[in-house]
Amino acid sequence: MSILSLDLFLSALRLATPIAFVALGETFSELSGVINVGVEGTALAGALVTAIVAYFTGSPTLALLSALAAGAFLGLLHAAWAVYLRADHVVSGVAINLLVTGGALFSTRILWGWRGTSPSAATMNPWIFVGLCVLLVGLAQIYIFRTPWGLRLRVVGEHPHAADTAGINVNRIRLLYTVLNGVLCGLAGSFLFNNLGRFTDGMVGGRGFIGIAAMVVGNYRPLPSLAAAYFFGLVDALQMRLQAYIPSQFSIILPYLLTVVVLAGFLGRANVPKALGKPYLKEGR
Amino acid sequence: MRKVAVLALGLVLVGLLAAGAGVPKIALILATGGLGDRSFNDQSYWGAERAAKELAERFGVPVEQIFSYVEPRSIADYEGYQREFARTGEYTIIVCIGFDQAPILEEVAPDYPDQKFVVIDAVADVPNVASVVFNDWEEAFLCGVVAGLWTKTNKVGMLGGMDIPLIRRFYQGFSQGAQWANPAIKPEDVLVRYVGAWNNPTLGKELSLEMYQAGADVIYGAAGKSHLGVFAAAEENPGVWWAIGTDVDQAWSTPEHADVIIASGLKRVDLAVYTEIMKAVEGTWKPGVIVYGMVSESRIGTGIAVGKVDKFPPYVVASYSEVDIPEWILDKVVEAAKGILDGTIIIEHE
Repeated sequence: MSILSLDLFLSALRLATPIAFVALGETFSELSGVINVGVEGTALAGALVTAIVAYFTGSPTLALLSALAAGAFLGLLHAAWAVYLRADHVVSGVAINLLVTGGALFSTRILWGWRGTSPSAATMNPWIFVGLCVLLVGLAQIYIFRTPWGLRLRVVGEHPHAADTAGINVNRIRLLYTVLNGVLCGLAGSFLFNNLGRFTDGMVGGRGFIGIAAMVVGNYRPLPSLAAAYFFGLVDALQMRLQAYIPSQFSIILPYLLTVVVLAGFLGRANVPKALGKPYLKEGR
Repeated sequence: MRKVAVLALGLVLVGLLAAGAGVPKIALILATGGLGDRSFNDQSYWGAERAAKELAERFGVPVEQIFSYVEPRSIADYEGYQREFARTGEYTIIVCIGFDQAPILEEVAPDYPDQKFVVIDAVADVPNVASVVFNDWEEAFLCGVVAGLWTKTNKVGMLGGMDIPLIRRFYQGFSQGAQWANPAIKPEDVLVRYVGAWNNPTLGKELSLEMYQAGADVIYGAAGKSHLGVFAAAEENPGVWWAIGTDVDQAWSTPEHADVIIASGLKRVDLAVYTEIMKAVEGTWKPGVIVYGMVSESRIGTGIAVGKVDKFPPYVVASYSEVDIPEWILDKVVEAAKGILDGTIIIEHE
């Protein structure tokens, strides 16, 4: 039995895709200056809404669109708190995570009588998401570094006062990309549901946070972030196969251990947007 | 000072009056997998709920007044919940679900010597704790027999939640059952993979796919919510890949997968929880270790749900599975159950 097989890479792609979606979303919002640790909860909301709509309408397409809307809504909520009401970005994100975790238990119980899990519901082919992810990342790379809109996005996160002087509405740009982050997290959640065919409350399982880590490793750039996500997925797929040879306690920690090691190596030279996490005040210094 | 004393006396009197009504109260602390696993945790809840409903009727009060439960999100939450319930002194009995609560309970229970505790799946050696353990390997052995006879590739697998003694005993039973039923299966043909979590079905599915692709065509899930991923993986190749559930007839609790679930191990956690609660209410509760299983004093608590009719109740009972299991396989399962009961089959386990 060989470890390196086509199945290994297919498994790695499936494991990496939700991470890559989150990493891309977080790249957009952090470049504009907004930290969103609520990505974990937003992805869970995406999965939950996909399950609910797919179950009651039987339409996976409608379910996907609803998940995007749910992600956008949570992005809007985060932007309202963090950008306009100037709340601490991390606190607002944690609030979203708690809100969705509680809401998921509550709504599954109300709707299906099972706390935390949904019945099976109509799905679409999860490989559509894998392809879409690569496409979006490619487009984002061009958008951010080759278009005037991308330049505006970056300057808002680097030097909001300069952007403001140039006539850019800083807060509106931040709102826009925070919502886009929510939409991409909704997409990640929708993939997770379509891959399993059922919602469970632990299904995001830290992939949102690892998405943020992938973005840091990718140095706030879409393509390198995608590579980081694929690397993580590959190590995770590899550890499953290694369980046949080494004790599972060791192989299970491999992806996380490598994330920490790689992060430690990259963190020093990351070009963090200078205004990251700072609310923008026109009169501020 | 006097005022304080009077107030304290008043509070004690109110407390006595409330206790005088004699309405028992039950607390249930679930395992970290949480409700909705359609297996172990849900079953524990049903046992407590059944007791609470009967008691509510007996005392003419709403169920909510009798029954409280919490779902800890992590192991770190256990101690807080155990203390929170025990501190009130209101609860007739506090039921703790899951092996990982035992070591914490060993620290907590001595601080509340008058509080009755029950822990499921592990032993906490404290004078006010009843520890309920199951012969998990018996359920797993019977599942192994079905898997061993059903497989066409002579290769089977098990998805475990974590590499811990409890789950290794499942694996030992499963592996021996498969080899007992089918001599073509060697120890290395019984694969095992661990998720490392009880609530990560996405990873559970990937691990199952990996075992199916490695040639195993029947996978037994013993991973809480994570092994919902086994069923999802089997659905990718229905008619070729098969799954076996744990603790509850999962063809019933996850009916959408009744076409790939050929059998389910049974572990009557509900019965154990219900019995312990009722004993505490009736005043016959005793601390110590209580064993459930075929080879135990009670001779109940483990078994298998397979086939369309009860073949050898309460050990081999009907399942909601839509798969037709041939009579000769069922006969062999009954033979195995009888062998375990009369001691001709001895299952080795750690």
